[in-house]
Amino acid sequence: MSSILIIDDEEQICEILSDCFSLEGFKVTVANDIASAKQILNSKQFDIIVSDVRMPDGNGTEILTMIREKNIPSIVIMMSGYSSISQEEIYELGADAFFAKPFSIFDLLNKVKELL
Amino acid sequence: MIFLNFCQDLLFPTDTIQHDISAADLVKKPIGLVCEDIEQIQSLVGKHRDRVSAVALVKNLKTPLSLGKTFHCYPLALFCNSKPQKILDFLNFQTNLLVQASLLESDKKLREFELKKAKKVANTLRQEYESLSEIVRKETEEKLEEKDYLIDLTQRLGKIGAFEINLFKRETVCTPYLLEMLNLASFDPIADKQFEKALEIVKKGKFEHEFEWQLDCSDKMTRYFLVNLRRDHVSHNGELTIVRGSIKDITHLKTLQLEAELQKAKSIHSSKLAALGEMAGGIAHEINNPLTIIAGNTAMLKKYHEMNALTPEVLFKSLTSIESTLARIEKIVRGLRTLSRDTGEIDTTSVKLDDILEDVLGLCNERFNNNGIFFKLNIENHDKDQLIWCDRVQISQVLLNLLNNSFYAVKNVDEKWITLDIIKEAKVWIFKVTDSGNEISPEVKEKIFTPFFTSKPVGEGTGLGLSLSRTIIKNHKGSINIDRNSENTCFYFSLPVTDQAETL
Repeated sequence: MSSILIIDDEEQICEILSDCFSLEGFKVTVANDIASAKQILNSKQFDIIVSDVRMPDGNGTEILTMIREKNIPSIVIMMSGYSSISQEEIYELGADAFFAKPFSIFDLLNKVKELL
Repeated sequence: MIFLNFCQDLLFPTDTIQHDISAADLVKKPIGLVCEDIEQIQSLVGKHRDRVSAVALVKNLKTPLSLGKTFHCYPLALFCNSKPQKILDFLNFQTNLLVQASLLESDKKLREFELKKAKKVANTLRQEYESLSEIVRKETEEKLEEKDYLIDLTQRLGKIGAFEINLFKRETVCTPYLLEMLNLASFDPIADKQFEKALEIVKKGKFEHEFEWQLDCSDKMTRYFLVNLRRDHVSHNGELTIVRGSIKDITHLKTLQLEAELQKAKSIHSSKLAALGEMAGGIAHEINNPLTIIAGNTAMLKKYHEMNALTPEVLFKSLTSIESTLARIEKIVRGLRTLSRDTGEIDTTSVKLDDILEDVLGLCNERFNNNGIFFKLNIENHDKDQLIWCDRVQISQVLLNLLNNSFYAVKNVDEKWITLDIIKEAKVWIFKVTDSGNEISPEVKEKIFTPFFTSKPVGEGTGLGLSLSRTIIKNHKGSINIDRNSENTCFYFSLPVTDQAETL
């Protein structure tokens, strides 16, 4: 059973993604801000991390950078609703995929399955 | 002085000083002497001061000259400062004097001769007078022409014409330039509707009335004139008979004014669009997030349905989520729609304070949240139905502009907060936006309300936000400024509490 960490300040998005991945047999963990995500990641490793970029207490790329710096072999997928965010930059930081909001959750699911 | 030259030929040479001239000599050599003002003669005669007494003497000589009597007299003729008629009168008097003197002569021949001579002198003098009159007439005409030219020039330079209306005769006379300026063959203000209205005002007793007159010209251009009407003459029964006035061409001025207004309206709209553009990125995110939720919910509903696992609980939960998310989008869209409406003209109605807040905060709230900005709204004695008499769109724009500025100010500082205080005092509403942004330098404060001044990076600010906000608030008879006493950056604007708002 693959584990997934979903990070987004929008609780309802977390909830839907959580429902979707649970239904597919993933072990889902949710964090609503950067601080709690970091705390979770300090004690646990995940197969997949799906994170929003802009959040009230910081930027999701901090998580991405942290994972890549620590050489943790997680699949990291970033998502954002901001058109001003540069996808190239996100990929350069080491993201495995980027999803611009709004997106189809099944596209995300398929991408995750493809990357696993 | 023309007479002087003439008299030199006729009379004794002026340089010859002759004493004790006999009455007979006087008759032989007629003397024309006029003295209206003895002092003036004195100044003219100068060194021949002693002659002056003779001048005076002859002038005062009322009795006919009798032969054998000796006079102390000089043949100096001076016509100074005298009206032509007076000169003529004197010449007649002098002629008569000579005639009378000659009559006293026993020698009839001499008398006749002297009479002839006297008449000749009189004729010559008359002719001289006539030629003088001609010169005076010509000079007067020339002067009048010059004056006419100057009056016309003044009118042309000032683009102003004058007219006089005789209301009794229903006739109008005007300066030639007026017709030229109006490009009309004739000018009949009585038949003009705009004039009719203005004339009524003057007829009712207003001494002076000014109005703007619009004239559609043959070249399909509208020209503008400033007309000034003045009561001039009232008949014995109190009826106004004569009205005088001037018409000034103000087309050029008016065109500039209209262009400026158009430019102003355009810049208001473009700046509003720019302000919306500044927010576009933020708004996209605000809509993209709820759209993700809705899309996710519907996808999940389909999935559950395919799996035959769609329970009423799951369905209700998803629909509730979709419903609340749609409301979020609606708020944002409503705010956008209200704020992007073109409002060249101020359109005041009584507006609920809560509606303004919904327009503005609908757009700002999520952005503040997403950027970790702590936003606090304080309303003193908040009443949900509280009304403000204002232009809803414009006031929302001003408020949005202040909050937007604060957003930029706090975006990159560690401690991020923005407070909106709304206070209702006896006569004014006060809206205060305070933020934790860095202090604004005195130089920036100085210019902050100047059009096109911006402290934002190139391409991010239009520099029109605060200057337009000031215009809007001024139009609402309120004021907008920086609170210099505040510890943090604080902008406030006030709006008058009006009776309309209270009664509606």
